[in-house]
Amino acid sequence: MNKNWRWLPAGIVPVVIVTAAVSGSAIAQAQPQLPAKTAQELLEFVATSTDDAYSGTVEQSSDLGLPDLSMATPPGGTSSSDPTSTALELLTADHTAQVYVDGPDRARVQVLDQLAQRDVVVTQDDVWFYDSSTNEATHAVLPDRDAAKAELEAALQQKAAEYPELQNVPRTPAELATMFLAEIDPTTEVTVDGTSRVAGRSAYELLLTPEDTATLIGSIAVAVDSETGVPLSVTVQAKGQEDPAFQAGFSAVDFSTPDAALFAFTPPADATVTEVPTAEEAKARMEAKDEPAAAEEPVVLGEGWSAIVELPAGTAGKLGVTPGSGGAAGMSDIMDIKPGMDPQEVAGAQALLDQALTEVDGGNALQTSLVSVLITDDGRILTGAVGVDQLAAAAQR
Amino acid sequence: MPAERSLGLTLVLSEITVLFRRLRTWAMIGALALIPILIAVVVRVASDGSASGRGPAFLDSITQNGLFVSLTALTVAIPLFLPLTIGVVAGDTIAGEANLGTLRYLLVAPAGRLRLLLVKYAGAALFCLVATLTVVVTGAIIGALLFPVGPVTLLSGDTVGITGYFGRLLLLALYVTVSLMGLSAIGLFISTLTTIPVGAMAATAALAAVAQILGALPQLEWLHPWLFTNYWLGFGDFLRQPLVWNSFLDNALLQFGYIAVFGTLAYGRFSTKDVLS
Repeated sequence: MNKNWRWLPAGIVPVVIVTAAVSGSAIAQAQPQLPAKTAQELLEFVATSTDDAYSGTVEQSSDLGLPDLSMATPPGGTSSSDPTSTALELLTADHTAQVYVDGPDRARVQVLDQLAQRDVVVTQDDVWFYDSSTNEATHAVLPDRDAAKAELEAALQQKAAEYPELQNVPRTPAELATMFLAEIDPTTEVTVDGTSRVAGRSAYELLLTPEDTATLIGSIAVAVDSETGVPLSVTVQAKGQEDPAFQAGFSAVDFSTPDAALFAFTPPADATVTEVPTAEEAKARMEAKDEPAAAEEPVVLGEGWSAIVELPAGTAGKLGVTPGSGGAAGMSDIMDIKPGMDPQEVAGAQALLDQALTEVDGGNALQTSLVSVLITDDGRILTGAVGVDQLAAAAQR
Repeated sequence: MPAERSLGLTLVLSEITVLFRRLRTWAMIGALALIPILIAVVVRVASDGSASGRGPAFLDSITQNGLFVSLTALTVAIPLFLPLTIGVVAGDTIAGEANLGTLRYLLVAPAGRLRLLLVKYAGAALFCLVATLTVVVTGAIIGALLFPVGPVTLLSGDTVGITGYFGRLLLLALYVTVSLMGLSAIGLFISTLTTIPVGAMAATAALAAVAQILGALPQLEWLHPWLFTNYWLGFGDFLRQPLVWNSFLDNALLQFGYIAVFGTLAYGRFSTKDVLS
């Protein structure tokens, strides 16, 4: 008796799974048919979407050509006490976040880490930041929006009386779009690059291509939801790199108003709460200490996409970099190593800098696929979306 | 066919009775129960009130709220102890009977090989649930005995009462059980390949380790969504407010895929092989 047919299910099931996986991604890539829009119309459309309420899941990934930072940080997250490393980690590692937005005033972002979570809750009056891995909450009171707006309006009216050309301050979405296009057009080509499907919704692709040859940025693509005008995804391409350097977009989105309770945050009873001083308090404190304002302001060299920001001499020294020492030994200070830090963590950070920084003519440089940083031997820091050689040339001047 | 259906039920019941009458099963459940007890006692004895921020997730929270013992114990048990015990049970399903020489007697009864496979798999699945619940329930009891208990702070910073927390714990146990179903199916298939149960048990437990090692290598990122261990630690989604179901659904789909592939493979192998013992 031939029993071989009994192996048949075992052959069919993998075929079904592979077919489902392939056709699923094919459907996701199909381009929907939408009425054509010009770049101007699309920008107006985006500008009208600020009052919308929605929620969804955002996936973010990046490929900056940097060594994997997750290896250098201890499992369970970064030390959130250090804002620089938190920002670096948020930008360079892959993340999933739940986003809830209710108009321009209320939003909540939950970064979903494994067995941990970071929350940012923004309301009209204040901002809460909460990190579950350290059980620390940070609270900032926002200045009164209406008062600030009225003040600004009054100042504008006053100025407008002095300078008639200020009457043309854009007020409607259409005016905003026109101004944006006029400002950006000399250096950037703004086009509508067909349609796409994001999170199961049809979207227009707005494409910004720098016409500047010096910059590392290849293009920036924004997918705009065809019904609401809400941007659904952003993709930044770097020149000479096939995979997107940075990508963030909704994998699921829902255009119903989120539950109001989500925006009312009370920190847990046992959490450490830090109050951020308001702008006035900070100003008062500075004056009380009689600290001089920053002696030298950062200088911007060039304009448009290839602009270079130069921080004056002494900045690197303040950050702890000893000019001329070069190599990882001097650079390690930049990571703000404090006594009592886990020695393993310090060693990891040092190894990371060792890998990331290369010695170039006149200093040490960090090259990613989008941004370069040059720390010169005389302690200046130059950064921009250009190659290291351009930074070095700018530093010579 | 009421007679046949009752035969299936009888088979399941007898399988479960045999499984839970074994000393070995109780020894494994006892070992699993020891994990939360050990964690709670060590934290209680060594507690100096400072949170170091190191060690398994939720470890620092235990001193404030004993209910976290369950979560710490689960985090510790998932990578090694749970797969090990599931490997023993699932690897033993067919190979154990073959080794004892009882397989052919089971097949003499008019039950059919497919039904026997299903019954064996049901037994292994039930063990997954019992094993997970053992860790969770023991953790909650020992935590309540040794530490203060109160409303629980979730990962999102919101606080839920004890009833709400137990609801979430049950969901969490269900999540972990579903996570282990794919591994059980793999164990069942391996068990049909051999008459030496120890070999099948070791192979199953080793596969769980291999999958987790592959999952830790960033160079193999494209492979990760296909590994049955990929969502094992995703149970944290039940500790968020609002509840996030993405991991649960992705995980269920993935585990279902593994059950389908290895279930049909086990059927192909078991229904065509000559049972000699």
